[in-house]
Amino acid sequence: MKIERYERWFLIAVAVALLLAVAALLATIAGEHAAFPESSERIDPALISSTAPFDQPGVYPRDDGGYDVIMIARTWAFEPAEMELPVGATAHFRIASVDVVHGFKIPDTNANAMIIPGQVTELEVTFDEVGPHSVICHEYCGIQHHIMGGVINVVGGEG
Amino acid sequence: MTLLDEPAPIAPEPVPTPTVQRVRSWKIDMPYLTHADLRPVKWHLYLAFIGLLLGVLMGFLQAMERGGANLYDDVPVIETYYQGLTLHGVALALVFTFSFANSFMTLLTMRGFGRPMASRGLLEASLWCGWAGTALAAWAILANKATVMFTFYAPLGATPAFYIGAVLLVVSTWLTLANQLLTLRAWRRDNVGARIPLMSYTSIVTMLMWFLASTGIAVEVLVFLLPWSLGLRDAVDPQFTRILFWFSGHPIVYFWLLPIYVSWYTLLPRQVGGKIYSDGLTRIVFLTFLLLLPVGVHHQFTDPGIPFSSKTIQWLLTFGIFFPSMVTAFSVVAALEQGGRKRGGRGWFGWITKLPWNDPSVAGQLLAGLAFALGGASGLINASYTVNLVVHNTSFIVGHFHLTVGTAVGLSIMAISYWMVPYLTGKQLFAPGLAVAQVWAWFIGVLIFARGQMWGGIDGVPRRTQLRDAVYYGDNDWGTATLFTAVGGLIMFVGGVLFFVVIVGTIFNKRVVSETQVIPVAEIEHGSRSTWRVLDSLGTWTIIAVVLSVVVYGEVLAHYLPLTEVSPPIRPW
Repeated sequence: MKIERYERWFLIAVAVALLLAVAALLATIAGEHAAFPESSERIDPALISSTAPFDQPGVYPRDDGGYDVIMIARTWAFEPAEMELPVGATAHFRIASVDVVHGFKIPDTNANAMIIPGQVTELEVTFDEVGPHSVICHEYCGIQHHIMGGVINVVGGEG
Repeated sequence: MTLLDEPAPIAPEPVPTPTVQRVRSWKIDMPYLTHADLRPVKWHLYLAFIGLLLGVLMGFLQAMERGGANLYDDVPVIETYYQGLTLHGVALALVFTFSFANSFMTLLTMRGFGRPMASRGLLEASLWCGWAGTALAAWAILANKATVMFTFYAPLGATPAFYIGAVLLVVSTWLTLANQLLTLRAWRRDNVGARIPLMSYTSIVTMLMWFLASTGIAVEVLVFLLPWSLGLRDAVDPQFTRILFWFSGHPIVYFWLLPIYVSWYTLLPRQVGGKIYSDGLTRIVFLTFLLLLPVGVHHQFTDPGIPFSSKTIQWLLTFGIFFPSMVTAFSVVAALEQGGRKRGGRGWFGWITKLPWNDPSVAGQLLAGLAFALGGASGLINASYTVNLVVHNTSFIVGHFHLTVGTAVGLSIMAISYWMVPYLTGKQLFAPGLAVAQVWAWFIGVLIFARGQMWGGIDGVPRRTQLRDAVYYGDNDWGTATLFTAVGGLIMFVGGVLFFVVIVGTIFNKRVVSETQVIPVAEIEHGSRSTWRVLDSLGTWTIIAVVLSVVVYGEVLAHYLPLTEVSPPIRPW
């Protein structure tokens, strides 16, 4: 099959560009510890409020200096909806939905996850900027989806 | 500096001179067709227009919401932002695109093979499935019984009519494929050893790709969601039904796009006076889409229940799609350049201004192609794994797909309609100058709109949200981006209204066409004589595509099973 000279060089250039992009992304995965949300356990949404640790949502200090954040998502609120964390702290979120699919997004951080009934969404977020951060449900979850939000206040002065 | 003005090394294959057929009062270039063959093509196209009209009207309400004017209490039938948004998505992503594909791919299959479709019964059945499916889904949405978005993620539970409507819409596309394959078989009997004509080949691969891809949604709806909505199944696994959805949900974007590729590759060159660049590369591009079905997990990088390994494998496969897109960029632009130079264009860029910009069908597709360059680049950002964490489920994605499906596809469909409606009705195009203004309005509108959506998305604006009433709206600096979205959306709405002025004016035009209506079939620079024969073995490629999908998704399922069926249907609207 005949492929024109210019087109052949163009295709080679495209292939090289793609390989470079893949390499750059692999570097961000390995080097920056970009954490994708994962689920190490499954849970029945009907039993969440009576199952540890979700029977007591909240922020708990860890031995390594970070925090465990146990969170419930429901139509149309996060629980807890407001919390305070020190700047530089790494929060280990564990989030479960009691009803429909919800989203979890904190602008200006890498926090971006789906909360899917039956799964426990686990992700790590490090907060480097002082000030209030919006927590946003970014998946349509019903008629009042837009009132589902929270605030994380990142405060300075630690360490 | 000219790249492409050398004479062709292989003599171009002649396009047979069409003999003329009279369809009622006007003449077309397919002597073997009667009105009964064209009527379903026309009514599929009209169904596409109904989908577009509903989508454009809902788009107006959404743009006004972004501008700060919530009109949902003032308009009839549509009660809420989310009900309107569901109608917007279903009408455009399913009805508009599917119906156009049924119409256009059928027409070009007949033109490519030089014969009518093998089965009139299948033509009619496909048409009725499309209309009935649309009616059922529209009723469910308008009655506020299915405010679930076009993705209908469980456990959001719609009324059964919504799922049945979606199934019928998909079945209408399967019937079109079945008819194409029967026609291929009949054509092969009469043309032993001949190459499948490029136009028919690309039309069939488009529908074949979607048939394989749609099996995910078919299983999701028929095995899980429909029985669940009927009360025959107590609970479903929302993570698993999402996996099934996105198995189809990525290739559905190929299905939106490929009919437009058929136009860009096999028709647009003729419309500008150029030639199709390479028969072989065109076939390879279409086959690549058939093979790269199993990439849906790249829409689920942030899903908790899918392991890192599956996300990584499908991310890498996703990058493969960039390759046929760049081949297309080269080949289509080469054909355009050739046309522009034949029309007297000089220099690096002079050929661009010589293209027939005063032809609305050409201008619309050229602008659609420009939008696709931006849309494709933003798509690469979405697919870029770690970068996806910034943009997933934000309005960046909305900006992206209004450039791709909303404009590369949507504006191309409008532009193609400018020759297709006169072809199918025998009426002259109404107000061609207005049609040129229409495609520019849409294009300028979408650039402003997408700029707003993408800017906002990078700053955290969520998609699918009644934004101006969101509790966190005032805490974030999203005002300018939201204004861009509103203004751009309203300009797109003007473009949409102008389209319906031109099309309705054409359908009811008193002035009929005098000359024979001709589908602009392009000649091929490097024709099928120099193309590998194996590209025509569609059965073999289908088997390879199925095996690849089974292997890649087998890896996902091996990690995922058994199911966690815990969710009853919920209606939080």
